[in-house]
Amino acid sequence: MIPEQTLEALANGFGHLGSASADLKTAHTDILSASVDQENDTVTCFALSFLAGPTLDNMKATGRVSYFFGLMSHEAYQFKGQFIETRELTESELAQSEQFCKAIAEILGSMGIAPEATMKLVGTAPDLGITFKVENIFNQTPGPEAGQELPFN
Amino acid sequence: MPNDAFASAVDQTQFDGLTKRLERKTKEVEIIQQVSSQINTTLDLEKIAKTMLNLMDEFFGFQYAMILLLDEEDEALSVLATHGYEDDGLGAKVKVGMGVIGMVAKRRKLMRMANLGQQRAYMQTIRQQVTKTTDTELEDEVSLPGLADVESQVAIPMMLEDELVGVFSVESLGVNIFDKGDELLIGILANQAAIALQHARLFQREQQRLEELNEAHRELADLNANLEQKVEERTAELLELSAKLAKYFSPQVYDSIFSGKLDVTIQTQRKSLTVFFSDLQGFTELTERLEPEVLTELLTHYLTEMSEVAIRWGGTIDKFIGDAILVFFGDPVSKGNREDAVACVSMAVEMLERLESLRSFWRERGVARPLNVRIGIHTGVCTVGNFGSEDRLDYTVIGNGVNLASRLESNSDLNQILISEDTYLLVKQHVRCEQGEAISVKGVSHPVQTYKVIELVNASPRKDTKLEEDIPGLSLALDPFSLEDHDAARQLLSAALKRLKPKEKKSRDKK
Amino acid sequence: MITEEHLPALQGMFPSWITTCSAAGEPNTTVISQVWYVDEEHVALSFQFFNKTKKNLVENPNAFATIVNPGTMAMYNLDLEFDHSETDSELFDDMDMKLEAIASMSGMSGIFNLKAADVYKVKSLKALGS
Repeated sequence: MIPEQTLEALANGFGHLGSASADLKTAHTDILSASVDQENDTVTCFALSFLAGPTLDNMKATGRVSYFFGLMSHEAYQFKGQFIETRELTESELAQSEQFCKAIAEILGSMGIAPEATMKLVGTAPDLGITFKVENIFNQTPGPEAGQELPFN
Repeated sequence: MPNDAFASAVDQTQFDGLTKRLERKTKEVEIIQQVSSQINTTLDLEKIAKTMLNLMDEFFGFQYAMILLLDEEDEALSVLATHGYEDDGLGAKVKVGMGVIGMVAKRRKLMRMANLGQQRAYMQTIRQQVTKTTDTELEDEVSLPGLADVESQVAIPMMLEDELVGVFSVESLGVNIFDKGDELLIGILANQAAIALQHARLFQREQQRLEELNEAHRELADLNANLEQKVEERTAELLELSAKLAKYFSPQVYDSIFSGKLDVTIQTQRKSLTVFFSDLQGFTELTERLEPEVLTELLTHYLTEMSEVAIRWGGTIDKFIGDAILVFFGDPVSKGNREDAVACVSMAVEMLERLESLRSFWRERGVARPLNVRIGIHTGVCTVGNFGSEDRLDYTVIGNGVNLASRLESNSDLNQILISEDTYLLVKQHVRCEQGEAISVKGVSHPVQTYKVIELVNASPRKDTKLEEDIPGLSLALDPFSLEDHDAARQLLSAALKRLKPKEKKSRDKK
Repeated sequence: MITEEHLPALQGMFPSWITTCSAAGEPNTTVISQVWYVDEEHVALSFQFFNKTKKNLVENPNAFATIVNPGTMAMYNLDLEFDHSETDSELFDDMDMKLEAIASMSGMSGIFNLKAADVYKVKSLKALGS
C-alpha cells in the first residue's frame, strides 16, 4: 500500500523521474502528475516521450528508478523501485494531468512568471506512462526528517 | 562608401550587439556623472539619500529602494530614506548579520537574492519541522523593513575606503532580474553615495558639536552672572547649618574643628586630664511626680546654668547623661596640668553655689523637694579624642581616670566635691580640703585616698555664701540666701552681740 | 560552455533538480535551491548536510542537473563531473552569506552550516528539447 500521506503530492506535485546507465551516468525527465495502483504497489508517471528518451534508455538497461515529487509547500517524497513498463495513458489519467498543468500554471503565474514561460513547463500534454514498482519510500520534505524512510508493506 | 563597407565586413548582429553595448556604456557614464553631481551639491543627509533613490528609479526602474546608515555603536543599520514604500519606515533598525541587508553589512559584499518567497517558505517548513521534532531552541523570527511579498532583492554595501557607511537595498515584487551589468554600475553609484553621505554625516556632527559648544558657552555666562549671588546664598546656608551643629558640640571642640586644629578623624591620644563628674540626687523621684513639661524645663535650666559655668572656666563638656554631667579639662586646650585642675575644682565650687540659687528658684515654682548634687574630680592619664566609626564620631574621653572620677562622685556626700589624691596634690595650695576615706576602685590596684573640698583659698567671701562656724560656746549657721526675713536675722544677731562681753582692752605698754 | 544566456538560471531564483547514483547504480533524484556559477566550465553545489546526493557523489562523481531560467522558463540540462571541494574561497563565502541571510530571517541562524562548496566540471550543457 502506497502511504496515504504521499497521494496528494503524487497527484499534484511536480515530479522528476531519474535513472542511471550501466556506466553510472544519470538522467531525469519531468513528470506532469502520476497515478497509483495500490493493488500492485506501482506508480505510473506521466512523461513526455520527446524528452524522456535518455532517461528511459537507462531504465531499460539497469531497471532502477528514482522518482522525486513535491508540492509548492515543499512537502516532498522520493520513491525508489524497479522499472516495469511503458504504456499509453488512460483518459482519466490525461484529464488528471490537464488539471495538474492548469494548477501549476496558475501558481507560476501568481509568482510573476509570464504565461509563455509557464507553457514551456506545462504547455505540452504528456503522452507516455512510465510504470515502476515501488520498493522504498523516503521523506524529502526539508527538515530534520528529510531522508528518513517511510515504512510501507 | 566607408559605412557600407564596414557594415558588410562585420556581421550585422555583432554590429548591433556592439552598438548596444556602447550605448549602454555611454548611458552608464552619464548616469554616474549625473548622480555624482546631484548628491554632492548638498550636505543634508536625508536629501542626499532621497536624491539617490529618485535617480535610481529614473535610470533603472528601481521602484522600491531604501538607504540605511550604519550605527557602529549599535551594530545596527537604521533606515535613512525610502522610496516607493507605503510606510516610510524611517528609523527602523536592522541588526548587522540579520537578513539580506544585515548580511551585506556584515560581509561588506553585494548580495543578490531571488525567489525570496520560496526560500523563506523553505525555511519556514524547516523551522516547523525543527520545532516539531527536536528540542532545538530557535530565535524569534525577525520582521525587517521592506516589502512583505518581496521576491528579489539586491543589497549593496556603501563603502568609503574600508569603512562601511551604509547599505543600499533594492527590492522587487516580481521575479525580476538584475543583471551583472547593473550590479557593477549600482556598486559605483553606491560608493559615490557613501562619500556624499559620510561628508554630510561629519558635517552634521560638526554642527551638533558647535551647537553643544554654544550651549556650554551660554551656560557658563549664565553661571558667572549668578556666581556671586550663589556664593552668598550658599555661605548663608552653611552658617545656618553650622550654628545648628554648634549646639551639639562643646564650644572648644567646635572651635577646634572649625579652626582646623582638630581634625575630624578617628584620632585619640593619651593625656593627663582632670575629669569632673556630677549627678543630681533626687531627680529620679521628681520624674515620677512632675509633669513632663515642668521636668524638661527644670532639667534644661539646670544643665544650661551648669554649662555656662563650665564654659566660663574653660572646661570641655563631654556629655550630659540625663541629669549627670561629664566635663574634662586639658583637651583640646590646656593651660597646664595644675591650672586645669584648679580651674576644674573652682568650677565645681561655683556650680555648687549656683545650685543653691536654683534651689530657691525652683522652690518658688512648686518644686518643694530640693535638688542636691554629688561631684567627683580626678586628675590622670586618659585617652581622649574622636571615637566611633568613620561616619559618626564622638569626641570623648575614656580610661581608668574617668572611671575613678565617676566612683568619686558616687562616693561623695550631697552637695560635696570629692577629689582624688592626684588632684589634691595639684590643687592643695589653692583649695582647702579635708581628708576623706580611701576607696577601692575597680581597675586601680590600691585604694584611692580621697579629699573633700571645703573652700577655695582665695575665695572672697561672697555675700550670699553660707557662714557655718563652730567654736566652743558658739555654733553659728547662717545661710543668707535662704534667709527669708533678713530684719529678723539682724535683730537676732544684734541681740546675740549684746550678750558678748565688751571688747577687752589690751594693756598698752607706756613707753 | 556557460554563457550570459545561462546566468539567470544560476541564481537560485528557481529550484534546480539533480540526479545522482551510487556505485551500485541506484539512482537518486532530488531538488536543490541553486546551482552556482563558477566560471564558463564549472558550476558548484553547496554541501550542507551529508545526504544521499552527497554520498552518491563521493562514490560516483557523475551528476545530471536541470537549471531553469525563472523569467523565460527555459531549461538546461547539465552533465556534471565532480572536481573538488572548497571551504576557503570567495565562492564558499558567497554561498555561506546567502545561506546565513535567509536563515537569519527565519530565526534559524546557525542551524545550517555550510560544510563546503563542491565544484563540478560541466561536461555538456543542452537546452531542453534540443
